[in-house]
Amino acid sequence: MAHRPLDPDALGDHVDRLYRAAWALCGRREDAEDLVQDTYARVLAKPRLLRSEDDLAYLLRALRNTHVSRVRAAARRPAERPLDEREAADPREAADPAVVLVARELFAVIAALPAGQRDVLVAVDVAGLSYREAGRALRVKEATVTTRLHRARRAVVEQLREPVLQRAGA
Amino acid sequence: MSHDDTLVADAIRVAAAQVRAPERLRVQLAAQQRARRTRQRRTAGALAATLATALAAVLALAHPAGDPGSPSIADAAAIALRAPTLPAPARDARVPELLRASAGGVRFPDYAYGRLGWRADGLGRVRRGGREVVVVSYARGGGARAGYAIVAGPALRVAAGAPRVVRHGVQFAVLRDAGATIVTWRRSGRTCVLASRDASAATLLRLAAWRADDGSHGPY
Repeated sequence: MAHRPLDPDALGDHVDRLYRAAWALCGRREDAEDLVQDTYARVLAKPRLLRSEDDLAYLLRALRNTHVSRVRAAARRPAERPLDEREAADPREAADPAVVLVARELFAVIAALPAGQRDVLVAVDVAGLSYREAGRALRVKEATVTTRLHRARRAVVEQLREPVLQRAGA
Repeated sequence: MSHDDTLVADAIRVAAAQVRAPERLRVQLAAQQRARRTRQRRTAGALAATLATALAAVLALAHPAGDPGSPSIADAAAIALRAPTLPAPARDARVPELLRASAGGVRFPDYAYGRLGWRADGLGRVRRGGREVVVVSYARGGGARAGYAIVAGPALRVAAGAPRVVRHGVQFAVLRDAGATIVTWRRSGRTCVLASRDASAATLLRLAAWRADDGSHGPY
């Protein structure tokens, strides 16, 4: 199977989608920034060869693996007081408060899903991969992606308050 | 995908698409990329410096500083590998393991003797740095070639770092230069250089260290 090197200079093209995926994986905006940074640091540490997948699918898998490592490492450390979202907000950031509100609620619900459902929802609905790409990135069959995605969406509807989905356009 | 599924998926996509990475994250990622490029340049620079040092060390083994104007071992090897200009010397009928060719009284071996299999096919004489260099060229079936040079005058210096082996009480140094394998040793104070681009160091050592089964003569 042909391999091609990952272009480190093109990684910036994916930062928005990776940030969304990171936020949905860990449920907190500040953790998402750290997670994306850690992921990029890992990926940039040495040259990477990709097989059939595209850059985003590769980065998403790296993001998820980094997230899993961070969660495990955090479980071994004493608990820390979570930083207040308002304290941590970047004053230079001019995000629409309504957008932030919806995203915060939505991503918190997604982050609380069972890992298998959460990962496919993040890959397909948040990061925008196709079912096939998501299957490759997560090392599961396409049929598994379909099943988990259906369950994940239903769980999101059940857990999310109706107004949030309405504000988001559903 | 059901209608409800589609609605939920669309809602999530719409909500997610409005989220953009904060500027500070972009700045930090750009810094990480710059740091990677710097590391890469430094690594490439360090690698180039290491290679240059290694190359210089290898060249220094074959080209050690000696008397001004005198040839180096590598020069002698290059001369040994030139095409011969004179006919091959004949075998010495009285001493069949030697040829009727010599340099300053040091005789050349006949590597066709016994089962060695290398036939002398030419002779050359040149002067380099005021010294006479005499060469016998040898060929083996299959097109492999080797040249044996004897350099007149004081022994040429061999770099201290060159690998050395001792066979039958004679010390041989093994070098590489310009794609050639070189074995050098001293006979009666003269520098002998056996070089080939086709034969391995083991083969050249076997030839250089050859001696009669009863140990009565050789190496040559």
